[in-house]
Amino acid sequence: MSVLESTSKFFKSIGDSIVKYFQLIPRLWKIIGLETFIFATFVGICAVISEGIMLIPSSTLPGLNFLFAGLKVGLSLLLVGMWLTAWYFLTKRLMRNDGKKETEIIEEEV
Amino acid sequence: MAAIIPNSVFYILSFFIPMILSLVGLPLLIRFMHKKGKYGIDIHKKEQPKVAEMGGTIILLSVIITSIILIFLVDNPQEKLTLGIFCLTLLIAGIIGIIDDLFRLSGMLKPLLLLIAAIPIIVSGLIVTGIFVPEPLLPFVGQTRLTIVYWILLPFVITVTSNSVNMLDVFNGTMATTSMIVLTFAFFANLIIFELNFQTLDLTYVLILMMIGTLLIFWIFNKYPAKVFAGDTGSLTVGAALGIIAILGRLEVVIIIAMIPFIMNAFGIISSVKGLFERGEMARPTKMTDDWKIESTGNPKAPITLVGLVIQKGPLHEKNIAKTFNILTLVSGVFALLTAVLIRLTMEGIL
Repeated sequence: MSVLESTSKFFKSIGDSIVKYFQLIPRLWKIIGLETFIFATFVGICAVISEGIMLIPSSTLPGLNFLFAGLKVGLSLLLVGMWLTAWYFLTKRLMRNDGKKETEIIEEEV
Repeated sequence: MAAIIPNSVFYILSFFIPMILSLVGLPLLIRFMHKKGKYGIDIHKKEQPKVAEMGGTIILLSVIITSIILIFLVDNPQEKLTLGIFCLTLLIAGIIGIIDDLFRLSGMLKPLLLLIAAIPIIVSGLIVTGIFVPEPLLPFVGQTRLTIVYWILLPFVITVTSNSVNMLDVFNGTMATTSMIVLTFAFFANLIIFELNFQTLDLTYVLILMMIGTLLIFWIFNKYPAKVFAGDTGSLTVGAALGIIAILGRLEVVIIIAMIPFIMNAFGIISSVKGLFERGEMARPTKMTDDWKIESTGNPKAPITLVGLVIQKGPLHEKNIAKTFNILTLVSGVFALLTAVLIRLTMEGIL
């Protein structure tokens, strides 16, 4: 086999495997959508923390300053907690419909 | 000694030493495991081949040996300590994995034991300042000050990453490829956020290259049709490595985003079976079709997994399921890079 032939075969195999990857993407739209949602909400939360929570002022009084800092951390953690909870429930919801009930019905009918 | 060794050599060594060690070690381990009868049946194949178990031992050994070599080569005590912490964390996670592979730990005990893996980083953080910065970087916010909360969250970082990698290690090659994708994106994210300066040694690159080097060789032996399984030794070691790299490299957020498919899978399993159980303790979520594709068992008691979602539209061959995992990790990796860009822009005051 010539160098040209083996090189073209090599690139063809790479091209074929890329095509195979693309053929699988339609199956994954829901999951990619969920990934996008997770990322977008995370960025959104960061924006809210930056533009909202970080505006809580600092105080020169030590006790009050500690209270404000605690409030900032608490609110930020609350948002992160909400993000994780939403992520958890959406994953659960999306994965619930993995064809279990349908399979059972088909089996019963057969 | 470091004065005569250029930093670029450290990067090259950190990549090639574990590669060579794995290349030498894996064939020996495969032969040894078959000889000792320590093999598993690959149930996703018609021939039901016997595959050597505990391949992760070589991942663990090659990373530990490389870390020890680098500890002797670096000059800076802080760098020696950082490499030592990395080495110890992986050793603890790896030993838990070995115990699990040999004696089967309960689903609840394993994550609890993995909390121990955070001891080296916590202790060193208490004794020496600057080993890690308890101020994760966030897009738009920049440097956060989670001084107390960060310490509380530290042990869970290792446990979460280790267990989520462990839970996704179900098909030939998936653990190695998905972890390599996460590590590659973490490498570029580090490049975006902190740049690469050859004047000073950035150990984050060293640790990432070390893991990619060993995983690349492991993947050659673990890809379809696998000659060796990683076992819990491998998956827990790799997961712990991801966690500790996130902490030491200040890439916590970037790695969490890159690991979305892993975490999604773990969430699905934990939420559906309402707790932490070993694979053997749960109903099987998949079965094989007559033409040896993977389909859902339809068992309502089976855990909800990422595989279940992928095969929702019909059965799929094992090789293709592994590809879908790669696609999903690539997507989350791109998001991780976007996160890194946002962090960089925030740090430069543009956002």
